[in-house]
Amino acid sequence: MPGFQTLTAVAAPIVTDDVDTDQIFPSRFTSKNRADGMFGTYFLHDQRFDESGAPRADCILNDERLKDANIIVAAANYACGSARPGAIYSHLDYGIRAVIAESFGPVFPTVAFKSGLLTIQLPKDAVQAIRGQLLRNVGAEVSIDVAHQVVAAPDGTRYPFEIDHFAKRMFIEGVSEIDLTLGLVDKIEAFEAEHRAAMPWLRNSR
Amino acid sequence: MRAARTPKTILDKIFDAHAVDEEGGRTLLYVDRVIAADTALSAFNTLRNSHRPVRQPAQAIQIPDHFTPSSGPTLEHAGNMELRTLIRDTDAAARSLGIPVVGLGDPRRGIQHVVAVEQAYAQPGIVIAATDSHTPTQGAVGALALSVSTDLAHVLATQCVWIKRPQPMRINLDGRLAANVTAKDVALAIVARIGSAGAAGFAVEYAGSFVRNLSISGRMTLCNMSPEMGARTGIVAPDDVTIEYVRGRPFAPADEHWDAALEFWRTLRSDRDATYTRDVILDVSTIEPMVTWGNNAEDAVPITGVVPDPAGQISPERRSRMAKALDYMGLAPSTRMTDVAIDQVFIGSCANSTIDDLRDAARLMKGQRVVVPTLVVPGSGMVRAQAEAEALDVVFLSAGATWGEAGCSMCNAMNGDVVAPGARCASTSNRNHMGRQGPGSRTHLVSPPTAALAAITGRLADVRQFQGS
Repeated sequence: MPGFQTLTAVAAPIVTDDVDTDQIFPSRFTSKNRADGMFGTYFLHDQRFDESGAPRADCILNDERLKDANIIVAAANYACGSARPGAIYSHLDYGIRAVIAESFGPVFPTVAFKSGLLTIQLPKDAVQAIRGQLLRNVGAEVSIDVAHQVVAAPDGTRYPFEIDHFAKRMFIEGVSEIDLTLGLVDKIEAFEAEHRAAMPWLRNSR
Repeated sequence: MRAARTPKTILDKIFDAHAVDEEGGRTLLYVDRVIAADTALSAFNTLRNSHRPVRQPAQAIQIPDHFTPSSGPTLEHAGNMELRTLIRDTDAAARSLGIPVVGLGDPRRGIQHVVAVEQAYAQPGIVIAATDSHTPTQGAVGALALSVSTDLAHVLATQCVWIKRPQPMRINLDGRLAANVTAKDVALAIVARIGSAGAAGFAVEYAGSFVRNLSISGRMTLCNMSPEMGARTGIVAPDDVTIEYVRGRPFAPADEHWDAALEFWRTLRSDRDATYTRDVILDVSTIEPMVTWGNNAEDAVPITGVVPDPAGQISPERRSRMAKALDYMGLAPSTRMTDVAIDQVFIGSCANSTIDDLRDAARLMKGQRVVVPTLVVPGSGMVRAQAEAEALDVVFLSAGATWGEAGCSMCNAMNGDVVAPGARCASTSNRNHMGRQGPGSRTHLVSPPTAALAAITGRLADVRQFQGS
């Protein structure tokens, strides 16, 4: 799915470190089919709803002013833990297009952008500053310019971010990575032939 | 004139031997072997819907483990119709793409990482990829083992993955463990020390005299916990322990290629003058049995320790997480860990389900009775058969524990094996996240001996004081 060039949208602050994928997409939903259209509901489900299914008052995402949020501004080590695809898809189906954080778990940022969910890593003080504004002014907007690699906080402060050329193109154009790589099939074939000759024991002969 | 030689780590050596192409700071890395699981249906459907073949189906394998039942050997035992259908459809999709299946009914079945190591599907110097975040477990035998999440379809279609070379980090472990202290305690001690993001962006090489003397099972436990410190993967350079382990296993090099393979494997050690971006040094002889009190593996303290106080935290983000964790876990600051009563016990998961792990647990459980519900789930059908050959199943069953069929089971609670809301579980698994073992579940990560002692005492206790019967 293609991402975006620019996005100006309501951003929701999440202040806790280590929001893991067991919270983002609880285990019991992993056997569900995304096509059923419920993944948005599953997003951070047990943080948003109590055992009876009622919205939790202490969850900021339940604030009426954040119901149309398309951006999350989190803390450190966001989306650590399980590499379950539902953790990515549930963000998208809930309406989140980008997550800004101090750091991410090891796998999430390597793949999320390929499905149209942008992850932006900014220095701790920058993220804290943006989160602070979003907490003081709930419902405020953050702007993201992917082409120019800049995040603008609600107060207008601009923070540059890094995204490599490859990820930028994949994200903005939504191109199929499989197609791109298969464009290199000659190289893959040549490598494979050489590699197999060098390591003949890897043939699954038994 | 000799060309200047750049010193390389084992990671560099494997990486360089698999680099197909480079573009914009990313490497197109060739993948020797791929593991799919019962979570792979959407990847399989992506390929089928776009009429793309799997590039090398003989280099892939399908090993269902997340949704498979522990209560019985066949599909009929699956927790519900949805799970039954999902396991069946995913295996069928794999077969339709030409991928061999090690499924229910196959004696080799089990947790993908345990099966891969045990069958020598993972072996020194290869790049192996799977969706699952605990794929780094397989680094125990010197493979570069990568979790690729939603990139599985790409890996199957191209036999490659685009990756930025992770920075090398070395965790050097020396010394000898106290009795009944295990590699799990070492792993928890490391995470507690460096933090849940302490290895973010790194591939961790475990080295040092402790690691050299450690079994493959112990190395699996260390590598398994690498993602809990934020690492991209973990690896132990192959040595005689590795070679003796791999020799003769089903996917090991055939006899006619053995010597050539060995020659290559002997080159797979980091050069003496290789540099690491980060070095951590730990003496394991001072490590106590470790237990977690919170919702992240870094929330680990020695069994002689207490629950920490969020008030002592300077960072508001950390204080927030800690306070939330204590509320969720139902624990008060300064509570002694040995005063924590346990409601149930789980022994299993890719962190701790090898025959060595089960022996560790059985040693403490022998001749005892469990006082809380206890589930023991071996990592594979082969581990289960070996345990039964050693009558470990008799030890567990006569203690009153449940002896399950191999799979992920209660670690991630996807197959219906759940911890009740609010119940406190001593678990040998690798994650203690909120709701991980079921909604409202409270997980304390521990080693197999500590889990076994919790089962027979109903509390977290110090395995060093266990006298046995």
